[in-house]
Amino acid sequence: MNPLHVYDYEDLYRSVRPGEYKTMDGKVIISASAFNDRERKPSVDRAWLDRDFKDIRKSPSDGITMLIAREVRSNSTVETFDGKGRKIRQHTVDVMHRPIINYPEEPDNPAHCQIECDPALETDSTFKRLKEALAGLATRVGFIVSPDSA
Amino acid sequence: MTVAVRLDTSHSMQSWAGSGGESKIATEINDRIRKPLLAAEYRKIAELLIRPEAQPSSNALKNALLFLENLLDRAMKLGSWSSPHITLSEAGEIVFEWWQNDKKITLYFGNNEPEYIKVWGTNIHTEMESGMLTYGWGLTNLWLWLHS
Repeated sequence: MNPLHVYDYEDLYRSVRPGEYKTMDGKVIISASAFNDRERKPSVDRAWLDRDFKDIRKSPSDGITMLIAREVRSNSTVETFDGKGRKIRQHTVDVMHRPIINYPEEPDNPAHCQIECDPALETDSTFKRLKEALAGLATRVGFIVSPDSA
Repeated sequence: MTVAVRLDTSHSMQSWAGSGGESKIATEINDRIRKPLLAAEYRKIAELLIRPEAQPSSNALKNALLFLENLLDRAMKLGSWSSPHITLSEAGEIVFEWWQNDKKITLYFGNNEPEYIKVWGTNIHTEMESGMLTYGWGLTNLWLWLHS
């Protein structure tokens, strides 16, 4: 077993801030904006590394949702099209272990991963679809830690 | 948190209504009927303007307000208005989201043309459709699809 490889069966945690979800008929619905990322590589934490929920959340008002690596990878080929609808590139979606250790402005996080595309996404519209997919997967689970309850 | 930002919503209606007497009547209808119905949306957008992480451009703001009033008008005629969930993207675009059973619509208002995404599952290729948002029939069709 390679500890640096994120296996398909692994659970992944994602912190969700107030305003990035809503509740409809008692069900938590996660917004696509919960997966905003300037570099188009949304961060998640590997669950088995048992990071404290208080550290995963940036604030007690955040909730924590969960994704499964296999489901994230199920969109394994993301295609990019030009203005005429012609396929110009194909990207592979993966979950990469990117531990944060000894970074000057960030606390250590050995569980840190990124949802990345190879090659990197160059168009915003494709990343928007990826965010929709991630939000849909997260909504199936809802919160495993509700805001203010950890 | 108390937000002391007041949103100027007058410009969006002017550009939608045209000019002359028609504009005056449209503005009157807007002030008396639509604006009170959109008070929560205006307040939420005003809150986004003071968020430190990303700032929507004036063009994004203008387009989002214009769209909101236009959609409210159409939705009221169809009898199915519901408030959008409003957020910002990482690029400072104003994002409107609506969910209805297993369907979802997301709209993005940034510096470029507004975009839409129709979502009915999590598969990026087979369960989503995206493109440029057009007013008129394009907007009506999106709203009808969501509620069909």
